[in-house]
Amino acid sequence: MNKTVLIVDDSATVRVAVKMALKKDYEVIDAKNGKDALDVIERFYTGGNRLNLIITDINMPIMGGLEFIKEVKNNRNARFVPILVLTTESQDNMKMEGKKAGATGWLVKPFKPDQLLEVAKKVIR
Amino acid sequence: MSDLDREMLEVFLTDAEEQLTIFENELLNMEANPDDEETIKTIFRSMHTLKGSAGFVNLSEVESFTHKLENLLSELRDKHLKNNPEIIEILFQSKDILNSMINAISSNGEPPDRFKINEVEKMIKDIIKTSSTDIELEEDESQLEQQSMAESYFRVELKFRTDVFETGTDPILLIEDLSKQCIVISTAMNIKNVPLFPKINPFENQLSWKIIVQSPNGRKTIDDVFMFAAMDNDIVVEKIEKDELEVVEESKIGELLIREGYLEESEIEEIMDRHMKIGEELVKEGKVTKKIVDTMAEKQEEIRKIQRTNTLRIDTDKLDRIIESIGEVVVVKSRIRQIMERKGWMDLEEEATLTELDRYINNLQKDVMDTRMVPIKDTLLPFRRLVRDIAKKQEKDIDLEILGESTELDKTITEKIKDPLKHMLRNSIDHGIESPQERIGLGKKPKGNIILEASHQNGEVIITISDDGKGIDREAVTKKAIERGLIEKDKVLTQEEANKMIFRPGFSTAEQVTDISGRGVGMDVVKDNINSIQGEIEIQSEPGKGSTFTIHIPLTLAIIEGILISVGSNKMIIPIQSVVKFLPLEANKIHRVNHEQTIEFQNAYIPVIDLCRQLGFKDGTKAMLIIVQSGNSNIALIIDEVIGKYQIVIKSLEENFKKVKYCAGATVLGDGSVALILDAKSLIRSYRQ
Repeated sequence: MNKTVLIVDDSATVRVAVKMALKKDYEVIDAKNGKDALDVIERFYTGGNRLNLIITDINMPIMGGLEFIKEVKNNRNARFVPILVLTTESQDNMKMEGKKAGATGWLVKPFKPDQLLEVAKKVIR
Repeated sequence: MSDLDREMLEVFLTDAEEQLTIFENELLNMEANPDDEETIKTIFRSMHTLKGSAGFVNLSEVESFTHKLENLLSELRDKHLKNNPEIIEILFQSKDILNSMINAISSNGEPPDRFKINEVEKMIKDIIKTSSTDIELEEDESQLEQQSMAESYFRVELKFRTDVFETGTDPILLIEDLSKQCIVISTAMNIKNVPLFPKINPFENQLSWKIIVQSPNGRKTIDDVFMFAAMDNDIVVEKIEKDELEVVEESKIGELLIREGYLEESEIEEIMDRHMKIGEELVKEGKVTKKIVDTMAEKQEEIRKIQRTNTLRIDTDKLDRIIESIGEVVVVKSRIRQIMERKGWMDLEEEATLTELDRYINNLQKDVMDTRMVPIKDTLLPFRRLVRDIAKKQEKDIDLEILGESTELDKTITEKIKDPLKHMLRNSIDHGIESPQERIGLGKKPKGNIILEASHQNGEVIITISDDGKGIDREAVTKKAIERGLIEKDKVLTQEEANKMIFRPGFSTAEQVTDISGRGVGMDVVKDNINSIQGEIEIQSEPGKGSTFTIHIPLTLAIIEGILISVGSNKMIIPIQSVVKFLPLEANKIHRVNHEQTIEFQNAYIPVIDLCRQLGFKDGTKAMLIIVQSGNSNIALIIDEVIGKYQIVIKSLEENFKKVKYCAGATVLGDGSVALILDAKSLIRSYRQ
């Protein structure tokens, strides 16, 4: 069975970039913000599937990354799914914030496809 | 531009347009409500998103400009700056610049005015300068990093939070990653905190680890592995010196418990402090006086001093000389027995004394041999690094599994098998294991597997190297053998012949120059090396599934057991592992096939060789046949008589006389005469060629 990655970002460019980078090894599904992502997770698990990794941006409209992570940590199904937060050079403190919220690791934007794949492999069981 | 880049760019343009619309709308809001926090946040986010997206499509101009805007907006958001019409004006101008940047890409519109960009950037910079006192500290770390890049040893202590799983971190995954990046010297897992089984909470981690590794690139390799986990778990990476690795031979139970991570040093100290020394306790109980205890303590110290010098390193040459002397004793003892037998009789006491002498000599011999025995571990473990490096260079993914590393064998042999094994592993990686892509195409796991296993079997050491690569390609080998002129043009090799072909001299050539070995070494050289230590090498190979090389080597080279035979008027020793069977020679069982004498043995016809003629001796009685083997090949030798089993010390003929064909050396027998030691391998080899 293919492993599935959920990418949550308000930028379509980032979502496409993540899909492109991972599509060879993983199934990639996406959501525009934290709230959408929670819906996606709910539907995904109801359909009998399971996620293997969540990658999320921090700064998003409607529901940002940190709040989203906290919600995931309270989600019965997705509680133990590794989460990577997307940060940029300019927001180094976000790595810490993300970890505090319950993220597994981070990835600094912009990243090369290989970098993403490498980090994904590091955290996916 | 590739299709992929074009596709990404299109997505980006739609994205950018969306963000710029948000930017403009919110700017209008800002004019009305300059201090509204939501508005500032939304504007910041739109620039942040645009910056991130631009980075993915390599639009560095957009990225760098939005980065500066983002800085300005974060100053506003964090209230380091008070908003004012000047700032809003700058933001409007920035929006226009971004618009023209995007338009220039999407519809080949006018490129933005460089001068204008510089002007706005400068204004942004000036405004930020008034607010910010941040000084960027960085650099100077590179030097430190350089230092830690060298290969070195580390102790890694991992104490994960109990709720580590909640953060999506799996300690096992990290430890596996560590063992892939580094060579693990030892691992100790602390299970002290694990509750009884019914009380175990599977969602909590109660384990901690102490792992000693050799890192190829210093601390950085390890830090990279724990990059994420180090932030919120207790992970200590400590550099240690190589000699700290050497396990102290005699450790107290407490020291072991600490080293293996079951206890903390302080815990032991606490308990130890509670206890009085045995001496003090005895004095207290009135069993002995303090004076006696003190005297004994001095004595103890003296004994300790002596004990400290109890282990010493011995030159293997010295051991060799002892073994040789024991060999001589064995010879002298058999001479005594012969002399007594010649006398015609031996009384019980003489017989018993000789038997006792036998027993002591055997023990002595065994003890001395034991001192030369070392575990094969030290020879095999460094191969992990070798395999990892070669695999990496060739972009192959290979797991090397080492089994039976505690198998012991003679130290001189471990030294002599190192090179052959190294070359064989190289060959397995070079020619056996396919690239990950090829493997996937063949329906195999992308990661190749090599198993290196050592074991004892029938007084021999067996080392096998198995890979799950492509095996010996019969057709390719046939083609190459024809090219090299080793076989007739229209000959078709069977799989077994192809397997054997790779050991033929001249089959592989110096053509295989690789980055790693400089020059690939042919399997013929490997075979010669192994033969030179009385060893044998065989191969089993299944095309597409992999190959297994099996090496048989003797436990030791110093003393061998052999069968003494007489041929012509000479005596010879045949090493016992070469001997299969003795048969009386019956002329009617010998057949002629293709002008050669053969005999049926185990459902096959094997060659019969007249050893007298082969070695140029005078003809003898020729009453016996002895079947000897080398590898998978058997051969029958015509000899005169089998005298008995002997333990012999090999003397080199080359050193003492000159090299004699088909002889591995010579030995001195009980009666002082010299017997040649038959080299069954070279005899069989020459016969088969």
